[in-house]
Amino acid sequence: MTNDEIPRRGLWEWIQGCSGTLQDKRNSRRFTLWCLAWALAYVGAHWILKADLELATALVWLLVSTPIMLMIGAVFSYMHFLRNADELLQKIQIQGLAMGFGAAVVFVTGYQLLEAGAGASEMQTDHLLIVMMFSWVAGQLHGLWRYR
Amino acid sequence: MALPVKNRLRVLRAEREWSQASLAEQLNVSRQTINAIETGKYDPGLPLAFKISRLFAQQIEEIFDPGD
Repeated sequence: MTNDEIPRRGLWEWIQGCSGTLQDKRNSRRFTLWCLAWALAYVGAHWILKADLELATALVWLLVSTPIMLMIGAVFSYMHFLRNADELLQKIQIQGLAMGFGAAVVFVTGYQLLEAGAGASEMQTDHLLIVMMFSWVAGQLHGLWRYR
Repeated sequence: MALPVKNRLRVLRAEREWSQASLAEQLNVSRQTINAIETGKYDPGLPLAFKISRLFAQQIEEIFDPGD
């Protein structure tokens, strides 16, 4: 059978179907779990540290270092995923990373000029992270669409 | 810009009555990769080209044509 006709699928099914081999899906899930753990730890630590509490120094260090360690784990997990990924998926991921990095450079340099010349308020690092994340995902979606 | 390499993957696969998913499984790549190669949107790297050549028991040049 040569069932090339692919049935119509929803966006999420389409993304899932384009996300590589079973091993890639497993590695991708592992990376997602690291990211979720980091996000929870980051939000939790941020909330506690901002809430004017009398915290022991050791606890402050723990709150600061936990999200950092989790993000380092996520980065290693992503590198593992990328090294072992299906070759087309590698290409798509690299395109996403290039778009994320490029958008960050454009955003930072553009915003610095706005700060200098148009009196824009000081740049928040959170905004830079959001720009990077969204353009990384947009780059991946663009790659998935291009090689669909 | 490099021109895409033409290939006979779809024909070879159809001769064996394999689905894209089944070929992808045998080559340990995604179905999307097979589809992108067949439609000329993506040219495989050497390791995958050798795998394909071995699987179909043909020389790489018999499957992929640089078109020059």
